[in-house]
Amino acid sequence: MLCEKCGKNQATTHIHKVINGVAWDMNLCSYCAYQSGYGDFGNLDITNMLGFLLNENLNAAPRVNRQERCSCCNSTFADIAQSGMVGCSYCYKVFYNQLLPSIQRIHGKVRHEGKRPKNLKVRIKENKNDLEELRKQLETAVKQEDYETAAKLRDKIREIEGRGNNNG
Amino acid sequence: MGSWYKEFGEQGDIVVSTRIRIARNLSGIPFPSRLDPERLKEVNRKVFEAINKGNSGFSSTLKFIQMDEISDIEAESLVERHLISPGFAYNRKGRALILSSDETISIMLGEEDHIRIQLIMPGFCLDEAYDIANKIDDLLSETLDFAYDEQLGYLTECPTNLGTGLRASVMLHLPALEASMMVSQISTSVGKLGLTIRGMYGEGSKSKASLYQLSNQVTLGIPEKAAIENLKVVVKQTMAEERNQREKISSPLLEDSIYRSLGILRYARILNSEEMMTLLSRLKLGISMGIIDDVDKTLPILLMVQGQPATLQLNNGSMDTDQRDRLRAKLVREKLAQSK
Ligand SMILES: [Zn+2]
Ligand SMILES: [Zn+2]
Repeated sequence: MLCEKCGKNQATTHIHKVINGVAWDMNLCSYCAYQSGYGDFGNLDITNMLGFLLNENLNAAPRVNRQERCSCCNSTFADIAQSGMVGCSYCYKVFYNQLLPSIQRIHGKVRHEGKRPKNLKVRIKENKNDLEELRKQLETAVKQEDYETAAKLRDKIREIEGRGNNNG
Repeated sequence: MGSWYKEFGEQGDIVVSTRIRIARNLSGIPFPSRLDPERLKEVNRKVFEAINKGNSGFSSTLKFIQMDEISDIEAESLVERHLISPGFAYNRKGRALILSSDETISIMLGEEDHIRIQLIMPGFCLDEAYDIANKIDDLLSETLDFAYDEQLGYLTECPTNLGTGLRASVMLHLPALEASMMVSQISTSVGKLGLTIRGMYGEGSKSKASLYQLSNQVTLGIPEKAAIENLKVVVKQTMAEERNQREKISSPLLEDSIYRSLGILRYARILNSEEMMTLLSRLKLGISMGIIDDVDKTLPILLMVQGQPATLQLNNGSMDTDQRDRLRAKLVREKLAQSK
């Protein structure tokens, strides 16, 4: 059997895990197992089944705009699905809709509870940067007459502006 | 408190170590795998400055290690001592480690995330370890802009860490549960609580030395304290079950097997690491059950780490497998002879 992650090497490690009551089974080669934290020595980190999950989302959503790139790190959603790794924190805004189903499947919930950074100014500043970035993208989308994207961007901008107000 | 493998902590007969890891990223900067080494080094330096700026009392004991300047053996040994992840040792370009002199604090810079704060301590001490990790996080957030979103929480390269970015784990010695084939049952029941258990020092879920890692899996939608409380409850339950099973498996046959293991450890001239792990695991069980009373209780775990290939070479110079197997036997023999 070939490794389910790289599809190149022989799978030697069988991984079985249960997340929120749902069982996952994967067969990995020793290198991918090692990279995912299943090697001989205690990489104490949790597996990366993300590529796995995201690829499903990529295939299940043919309407996803495959050309869309994150303006901060230049990733497309296909890049993220392939590597199983998100490119930068801003990607979570750009590809929010595509990422959300996987996040939901991993954690069961999609709303953070717990600690926030001490420095609140940080967050407001981040929102400000995001807004500038989104407005730029909106401008480009309108210029290119990509109204579907433009509509999405407009929604995101409204959401962030709303959030800023709530936070006073 | 000192290194997890040098000291015997709270509930040390079953709980070997406690680990807290917090993932953080800087906002507006691509995650490490999308940064070139030079850019990564700039980010790392910024983080180290942020630690030194605060008057926390940590900074005096912390050392900055540029990972591409250390040898393969040094890097591997850090993995063997659970201070860094294998991936971090495998590709060291641009990466850096902030390490405390007592090996309890290790902060990986440029791993999957910009910052991975890690606390690892002997025994069962989730609250103490989290408290220190939390203080380091607070200190860093005074000067650094963390990537944070009101809905998704702290943003991480892998969505499995979103939210709190917190991974709390406890390493357990479970020889009796393993012998009774009960570990897979635990695995199923802890899954429902957003936790996971897996074998260490072995392939997949099988463990060489009956050591298992129990950690929280879900990080989004559950506050830090609640995740830690969940883990605590399950650890306590697992400990009780392990103790229960230890009584059940107690027999002349087990006693014999433990004494035989000690015999081999005391007199063998050649020991590969696999055999050493198995025998030391039995010795640890024998000490915990009161069958062996003339061996220092910290010794099994200490030798499990010091007898690992890279750590052995770190202390004694580079050598091939045969030389290592002889030296490993000698190290074990000598430590056992000194111990009382
Ligand atoms: Zn593979
Ligand atoms: Zn990005």
